[in-house]
Order: sequence, then structure tokens, then C-alpha cells
Amino acid sequence: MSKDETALGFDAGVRKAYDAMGPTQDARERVRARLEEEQRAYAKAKVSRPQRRAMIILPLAAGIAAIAAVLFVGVRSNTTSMQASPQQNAVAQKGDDKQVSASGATSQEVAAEEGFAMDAAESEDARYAKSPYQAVVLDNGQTYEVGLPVDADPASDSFEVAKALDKDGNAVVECTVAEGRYVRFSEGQTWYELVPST
Amino acid sequence: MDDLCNIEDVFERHFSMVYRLSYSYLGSAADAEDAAQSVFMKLVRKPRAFKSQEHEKAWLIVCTSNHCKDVLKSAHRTRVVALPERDHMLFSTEDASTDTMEAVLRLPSRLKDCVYLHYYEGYKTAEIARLLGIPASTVRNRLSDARVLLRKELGGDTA
Repeated sequence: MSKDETALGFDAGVRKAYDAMGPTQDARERVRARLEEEQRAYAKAKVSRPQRRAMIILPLAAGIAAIAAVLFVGVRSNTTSMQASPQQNAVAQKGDDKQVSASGATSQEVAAEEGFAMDAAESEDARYAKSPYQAVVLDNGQTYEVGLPVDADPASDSFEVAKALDKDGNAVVECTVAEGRYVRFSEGQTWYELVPST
Repeated sequence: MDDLCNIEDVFERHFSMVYRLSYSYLGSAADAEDAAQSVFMKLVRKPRAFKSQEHEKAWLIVCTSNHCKDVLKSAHRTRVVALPERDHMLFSTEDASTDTMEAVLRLPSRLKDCVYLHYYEGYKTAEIARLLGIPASTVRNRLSDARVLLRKELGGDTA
């Protein structure tokens, strides 16, 4: 056999070997069926680009909005508490001053339970007595008696807090007494002169 | 032919080629079926517009070759040993033909695409070089190496 014939035989042999590797009809149908099945599954699972975008962007936007809302509310509440009016602060302060025991009861409630409580009005009134100048006549003609602290020297002391008493001796309003003879009610600016009680 | 390809038509035209090339790489019918399915699924997932049927065929050859090389490199593939499977062959199982096929299957991967394209698809050296993106001299060397190996395997003249 010549060299060309050998080469031809070799080429033909290789080609025949590749022929042998070709698919059977069964293999072709099998792959076609699997491909169609996979194609259907892929089409079913496939999400369009706008849908994909929406699936990413919408939850992201919702998350950002939620975070922004939380931050905004936090900043607002801080600012509000910083800018509270004097009245609000006073109320808050009053609330703070009210001592609460571990059981949740106030100090007054605890004292009452322990038998130490005194009637507040009684104790306050007990500290006051009538001064030598005991009465004040207001511009409208109304007369009050003024009680001064019992240990005070009515002739010389000034009292930031005195009591104006009605005719039954009940303390009705706080007032300021100066030099034992002038009185000014807490709400007003006018000083009244005390006069001896009749 | 710049419209998106019809997968059914492409399958009809090129399934045999894709399967045969896969078989030459992977050496088993089951693996060749899987590989062919994967290659066509790439077209399903990302439809392409081919300039011509030659372009379409070239794309499938390269895609199949790359896919098979990936399979051969995969961790699973490196840990398992394929069972011999030659009983489904269509051709007459004469000893000489069987021997030639075994010898072709045993060729190194780097030589297989050149041998297939030259001996079975009838491409010339320059065409193979353009298709695979390698120099023509490399194609010639690979074909020469393959011929030496095959002749050696088949006990023929290596000249």
C-alpha cells in the first residue's frame, strides 16, 4: 500500500470512528424532550427585566423609607423635648419631685401607712398666729385677717409667706407681709396696710 | 440571518455535531447527552442572532468544546471513573474501527477539537485556526501530534 493509500485509510478510519460516536435516534429524542422540559421550566421561572427591577427596587425603597421615618421621628422627639415650654418643664419637674417608693406608692402614701401623716392644713395653720396688725381691708371692702408665723417678730420682720385668713380662720390665700404691717397678696402688686383687728 | 435563532431549527441542524463532539471529549453517551442539553440551553437562556449558518455552527463548536473542557476539569469529574460504554454504537463493531475510536477517545483534550474539525467536519487548517482563535501553526502541530499518537496507538506507520 502506497503512502497516499495509507493516509486515505487513516483519514477514513478516523472519520468512521467519529461516525460511530453519533447519537442514536433515542438519544436525540431524549435530549429533545429534556430540552423542551427545561425550556418550559425556564420560561415559567423567567422574570422579565422590569419585574426583576421592581423586585429589587421596591423592597429597597420601602426599607429606606422605613429607616428615614424612624430617624425622622427620633430627631423630632429629641427636638420637642429640648424645646419644651417652661410650663411643660415645670410639670415635668413636679412629676420628678414626686418621690415614688419601690412599691409604687408616693411618699405621702407611705407616711400615711406608717402613722406619721399629719393633716397638712392643720400643720400649716398651726404655724401661724394673728399679728398685732391683723386685718387688711381690700379696695373692694373685703376684709381678711393675716396670720404671721408664730415665731416671727411682727414689728420688724418681713415674711415672704404669710396667710390671709377668712372670717372663720381658714387660710385662703398666701400673701407677703413686710415690716409687720404691709401685706401684698401673691397675685397682686398693691401693698395694703394691716390694721388692728376689731 | 441576523434575527434571533430558532432553537428548534438549530437543534435539528446541529444536534448530531454537538453530541458527537461532546462524546469525543467525554467518552460516554450519557455525558454527551447532558453536554448537548447544556449547550442548547445556553441558546435558550440567551438567544443569539447569527450572521450565517456557518457562524451558528462555529459558535456551537466552540461552545461545546469549552463546555466539555469545563466538565472535564470539574471537581466531580476528577473524582469519578467512567465505566466503559461502547455497546450503543451504530457502526459495525469491527476490531479496526473500534480500535480507531478508542484511540481517538484517548487523545489529549487539547488535540481533540482540531482532529474532529479537520477529519470529520473537513475544515482546513486556517479555518480551524480562525474558529479556535489560535495560530495556524499551532493547528498544524496539533494535527501532527494527533496523527503520531493515533498511528502509534493503532500500530501503523508513523511516517
